[in-house]
Amino acid sequence: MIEVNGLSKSFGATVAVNEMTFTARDGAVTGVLGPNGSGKTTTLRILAGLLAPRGGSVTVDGIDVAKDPRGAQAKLGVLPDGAGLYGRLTPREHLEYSGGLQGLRGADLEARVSAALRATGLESLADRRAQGFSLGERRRVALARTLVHEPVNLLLDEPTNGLDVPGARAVRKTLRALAGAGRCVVMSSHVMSEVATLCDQVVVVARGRVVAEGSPRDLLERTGKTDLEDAFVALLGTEEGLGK
Amino acid sequence: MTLRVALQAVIRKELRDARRDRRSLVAALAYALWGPAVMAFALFAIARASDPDAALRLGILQPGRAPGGPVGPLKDPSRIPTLVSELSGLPNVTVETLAGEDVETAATAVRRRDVDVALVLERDAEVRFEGLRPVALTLVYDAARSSGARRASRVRAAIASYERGISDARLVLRGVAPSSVDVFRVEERDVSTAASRAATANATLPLFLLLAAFIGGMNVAIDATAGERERASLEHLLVHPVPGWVLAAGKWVVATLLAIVSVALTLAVSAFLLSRPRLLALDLGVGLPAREAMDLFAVLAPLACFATAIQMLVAAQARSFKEAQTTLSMLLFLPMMAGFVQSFSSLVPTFRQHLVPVWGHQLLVGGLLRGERAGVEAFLGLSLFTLLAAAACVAATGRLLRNERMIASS
Repeated sequence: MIEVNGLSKSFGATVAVNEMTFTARDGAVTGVLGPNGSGKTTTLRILAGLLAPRGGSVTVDGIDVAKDPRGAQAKLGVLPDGAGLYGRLTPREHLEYSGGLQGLRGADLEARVSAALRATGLESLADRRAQGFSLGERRRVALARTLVHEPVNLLLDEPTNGLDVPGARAVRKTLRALAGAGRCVVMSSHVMSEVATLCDQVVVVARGRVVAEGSPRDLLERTGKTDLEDAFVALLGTEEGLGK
Repeated sequence: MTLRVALQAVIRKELRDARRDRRSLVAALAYALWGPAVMAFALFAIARASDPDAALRLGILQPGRAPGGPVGPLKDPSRIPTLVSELSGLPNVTVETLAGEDVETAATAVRRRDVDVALVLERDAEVRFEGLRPVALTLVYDAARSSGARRASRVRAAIASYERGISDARLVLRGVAPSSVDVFRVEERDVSTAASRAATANATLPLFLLLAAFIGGMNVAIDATAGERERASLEHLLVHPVPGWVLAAGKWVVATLLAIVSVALTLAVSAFLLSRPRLLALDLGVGLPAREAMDLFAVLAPLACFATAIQMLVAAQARSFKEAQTTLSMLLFLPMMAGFVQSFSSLVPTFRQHLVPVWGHQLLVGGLLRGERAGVEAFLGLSLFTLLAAAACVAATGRLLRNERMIASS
């Protein structure tokens, strides 16, 4: 479980995250929804122990991220934006590297690497160098790397970004299965239909603040809309910056 | 335990990546061949030019004398023929007469390289010689040519030797002991050993060796730091529960390994190319026996550790491979400056100077190549300071990698 309480972060005079509070439960997919520049990525980076908050706190399974970032990271699987692959390494080697950094080795590492490759449909590409992979293939390798140590909590920054329809469906299925297995999944997304079908809980953020929180159904009821996209716009109070 | 596993994972990944990066590998290892090869080429060129028995074409010009053919006895065989014989007798010297009436003709022949050196006798040389009056000789050569002055000095030395023989004979005939007119008899004694003469000729070798420590691991040092930022893989790396120093140390181990291999190869290739018998015979080469090569390696290995550590620290602050490459190429001036300053200044090396990384290495390597034994204290002190500086750089790189500025600015 991830608990965010009064979280704030500034870069110079710019306030990126302002008194943000929400909880992501185990066994559920929590979507962080917001327009560009609303503070989603900064929030996920603080949750991942990459940035230090100016105020407030984040705990991952009770571990304070600011006080023990490495302890919290051991409980997390994080998929940052982009793929960030090494062109000269194969998917299998990427996963071995990531697993090694999580302290895995030997037969245990080997088994988990195979499982992650299978879960992301990468078996046929497992031993090909990543140089020349399509965006979707790269993103799948990055996702497999996130899953290799079978983390209890997952932080995913736009996990289906760049994937084709079958690829995106496969990822959604994987995330649903992980939540079904009791994992805590936190993801950011721009795709309303994805949030509507995948997320158990949605945290709508704008200008670094949480403007609404609840299930997709709750948000529709609260705004009196029938479409989540309309509900999202209504909650933000403006269409500015949404590219509509 | 977990940290050890993580460190091994970083080393394994960086080794794998570096091994597959052919361009970086070739660049690093080609230097080991290229540096000593360029130097050997230059030294062989010098060897050809400085060979004491190198062929020398000497033109003799005396106004009023008909040219052509090998020079025989002058007009009066009883007067100066032995001068020409003396010159003709020098090893590998071909003497020929030049047609002309003045020094300018001889100068033209030298400029056109018809002859290497020309000797112009005055018109009435035999008369003056017979009348015990000084005979004016003009030696014409081109000092701008690499071997011009040296060839002229061969001729000058032969003339001086001939002159001394004649003057001694003249004094004896007049009842004067030749030694009584000598105020001084200067004897020269060169205290340099063969190894020290070789080091003088090979003043650039320390620079090549020091640069090997800096160049060997440079690409890996950049790829493992600035490269991570450029390909946006740093954030993916930092989400793992591994302290920055473990990440930096793993990357440093691999970069250093390459730098050390580069140093060892440069030493081996230098030892092979620069110990060719032809170079050694002229004191131009460097005989690098295994013991001496090992000493040099022991001095340079800690430098390789420091070089890659400081390169990683600098490169980690760059956002792209190219930016890091530009900055690090300036860092290469460090060993170059140490070499130049030590070559051209009259600084007397003190013990403290030996403890400064790069500067101390230049001193120790230069000393070893001159055949001097390095003091154990200086070697141990320098190695200790260098490794401490390397450790500080690795720790600073680790802190830098974990600095949120690295993520926030990406």
